[in-house]
Amino acid sequence: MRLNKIFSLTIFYLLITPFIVLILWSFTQTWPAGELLPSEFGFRGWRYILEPHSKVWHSLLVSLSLSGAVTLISLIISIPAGKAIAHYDFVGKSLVETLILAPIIVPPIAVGMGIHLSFIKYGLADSFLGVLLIHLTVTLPYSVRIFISVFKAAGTKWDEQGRTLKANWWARFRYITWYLIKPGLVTGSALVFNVSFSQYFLTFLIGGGKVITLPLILFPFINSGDRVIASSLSLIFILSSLFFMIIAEKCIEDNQRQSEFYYL
Amino acid sequence: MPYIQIQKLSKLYKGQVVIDHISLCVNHGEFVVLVGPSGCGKTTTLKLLAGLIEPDSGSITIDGQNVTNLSAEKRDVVMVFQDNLLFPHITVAQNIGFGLKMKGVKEDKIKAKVQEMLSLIQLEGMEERYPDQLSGGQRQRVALARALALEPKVLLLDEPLSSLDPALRCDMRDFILEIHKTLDMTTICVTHDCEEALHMADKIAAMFEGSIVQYAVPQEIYYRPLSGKVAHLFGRYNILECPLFDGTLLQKCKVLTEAQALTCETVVYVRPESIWITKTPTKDALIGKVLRTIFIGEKRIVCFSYNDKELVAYSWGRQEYKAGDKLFFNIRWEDCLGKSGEEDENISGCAHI
Amino acid sequence: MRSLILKKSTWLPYLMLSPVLFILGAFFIGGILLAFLQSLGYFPIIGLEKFTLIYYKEVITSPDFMAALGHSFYICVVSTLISTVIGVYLAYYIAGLSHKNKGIDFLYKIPIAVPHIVAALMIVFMVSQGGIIARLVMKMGFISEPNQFPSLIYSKNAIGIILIYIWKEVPFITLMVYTVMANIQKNLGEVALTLGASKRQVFYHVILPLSTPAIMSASVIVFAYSFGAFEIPYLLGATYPRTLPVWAYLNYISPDLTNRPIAMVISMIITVLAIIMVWLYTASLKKLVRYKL
Repeated sequence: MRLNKIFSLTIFYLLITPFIVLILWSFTQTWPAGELLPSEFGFRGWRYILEPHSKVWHSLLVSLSLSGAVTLISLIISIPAGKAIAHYDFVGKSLVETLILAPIIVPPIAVGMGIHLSFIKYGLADSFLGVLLIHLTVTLPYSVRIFISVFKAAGTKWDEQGRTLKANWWARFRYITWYLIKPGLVTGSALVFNVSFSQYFLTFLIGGGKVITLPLILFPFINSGDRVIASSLSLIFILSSLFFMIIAEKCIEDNQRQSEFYYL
Repeated sequence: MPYIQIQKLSKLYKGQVVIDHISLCVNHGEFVVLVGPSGCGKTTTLKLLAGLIEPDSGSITIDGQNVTNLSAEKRDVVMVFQDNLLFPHITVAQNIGFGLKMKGVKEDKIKAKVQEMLSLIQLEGMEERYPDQLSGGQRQRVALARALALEPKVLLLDEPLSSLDPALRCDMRDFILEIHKTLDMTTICVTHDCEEALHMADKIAAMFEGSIVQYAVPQEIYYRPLSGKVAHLFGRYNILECPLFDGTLLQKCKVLTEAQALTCETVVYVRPESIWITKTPTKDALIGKVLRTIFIGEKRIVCFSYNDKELVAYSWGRQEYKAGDKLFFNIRWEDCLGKSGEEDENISGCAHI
Repeated sequence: MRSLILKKSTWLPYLMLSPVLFILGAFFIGGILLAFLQSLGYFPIIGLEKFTLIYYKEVITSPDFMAALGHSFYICVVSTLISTVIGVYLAYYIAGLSHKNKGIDFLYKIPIAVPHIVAALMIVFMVSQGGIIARLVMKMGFISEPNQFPSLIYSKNAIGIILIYIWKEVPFITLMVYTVMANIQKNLGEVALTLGASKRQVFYHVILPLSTPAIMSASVIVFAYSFGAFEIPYLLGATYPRTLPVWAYLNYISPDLTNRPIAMVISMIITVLAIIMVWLYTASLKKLVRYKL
């Protein structure tokens, strides 16, 4: 039993230490080679990022609005889709289910390179809209899956009860379905936002250097460049996605805290 | 020495007392039923006995051995859970043999025992089935066989019948009793169904809010409940104050409320069937007026007023009374009065040492 | 009469699905189909309009192909296996904690929210020759120069890449498996304990077999992801061998437009392989797991 505990805690610390190193780097002024700790701390990285005219602010804004829009659209159109699959029987259902799950399996590189030319042809390449659409192909499988399991778990009984109490579809949505899907909305928004917010390849390819998001700024720093600035950038990255998740959770108020259940 | 001895067992959960110093003694071969409303701590008591949770204080002794700190897998106690919980990934035979396999018993011995158990539960030929291919009753029987295969000293049953439909329930109840007798087991069973409890138990322990408030044989607990709460568990009742001396009523009976009953020493809880109705006056009878009668099959419920309070009795057979009839209601005192003068045994059922 | 839910409705479910189906149909299916057409050499912009299998032949007979395929499989199999083992173990440990430890519960999930490229940066800080571990080893006197530390980044052994995937995927697998395990532990685990099974026996005979479906579906997602992922091996991989996605991309951006069909062939191969593996997995899962939880 003791051994178990030591083992698990080791794994646990291995998961956590990289964060500490990252935070150290972001507050470093100088960190000589071979030393275990920085010799001088400072705010060089943060100053560079927070400069009013730096590219970071702009890309953060682009990232947030892009991923926010992707999340909103993804969730809104996934709710009816999840319900249709969970509660209805129709011709071609298994085909639809396969199609919805496929983007999790099929790598985005195939889709992105395949569609690139037509996007150029129809003016969608190098545009915010184009990037938004291509992000949706990646995020939809996750959000639809979540709502399928939400509606499956809830069953049709609530809806039937609502009907017998003469509620019309809007009243049923507003007073019944809304409360059933709240936990799914929390999980869904966190997941979808994350997938979109950290997407590099598709944004780069379809955005063609015109739609600059945070990952695009960060990317060149990974294998070369200033470690201090890269660390500060990374922290901004993580913090903004955490911030979004907290906001989403606060807005939707999942009082029973069931959201974890729907991660599967 | 009782076979199972529970002494001052307590369990806290999140700072809340769920089991409050309960003591209970069970003799070898007895079938004891714990009854009580949901949330009263019945299942927790079973889990404490099984060793699945540890008590905060108190002790449990089984067959002379103190098992309080022994973990579940080392106790000679097996528990059958409410919703049978068969392992879905293995066959009926593997389920029944699970405990023996864990003990490291040889394959051929397990096989023989599994066959023996299958014939005991009358499911021969089903060994290769999986749990989801069985009916509810069959699953419950397999769960029982899985427990019995280990030949435990003590068998714990947690609401064993509640997941079955009513028709199966009767069969299963008789089946459990039969097995209990043939195998000479000591069994503790939890239920919230009082008919089930009265039917199966050698002794019944009534639990409320983590304490055992009465522990007695079924007749005793049914006709002579120690409180309104216990009386309520087993059906309709009337609360009366009847000062009796040597079988004669000293003054007229008074009807009490639950609250008044708490402070009254000569309170009796009278079951409706302990009242028989006559049309002619008899000694000590309560004179009442019928308010209404309700037909419920083998009998009628007769609600009548006495001193402007409502009481309830049963009438049997085809005798019919109408609202407004003036009748005489006689109480069978021998039903509802304890052996007077005798000091009550303490609630735990343990002899004083 | 009002229509009942669950009846075979004619148009309503299609209407509800239409926005999702439109986007996936147009851009996902469309993208794959176009990639397929281009892989067959249909490429009107540079005047190629004839269907041909020549590009497939070219890719498959190239010596680079086997190297890239092997390298992709190596990274993806090793990282999936290790993260699955560790993730399952961690899930079992967390599910077994008698009191819910909020700290552990929160902290282990953080890597899930961290994007892969940030994870890459962190692992570089840890295991590169200038990283913390190399410094620690040097301080302890095992090596005297940073470049005596084994090269894990940009190297053929791809250990850096594998570590990044492991760091990212362990919490994911833990999260997916944990809920299922906690449920089994609570119900069937208790049953097994009263039947005399030790904790170890409960794990091997009850918890592990019953959480197999969850474990497999978690690891197949991880597997498919790391097989098709481009960013990390592109940034931190060796110049040779390359993984299939990186090889495809380099062909795609090559100024010589005739390399484009080659890129499409490689990405079609990645797609088909991923689908085959997932199909194999579901088929074997159906055979293996005949019960419902």
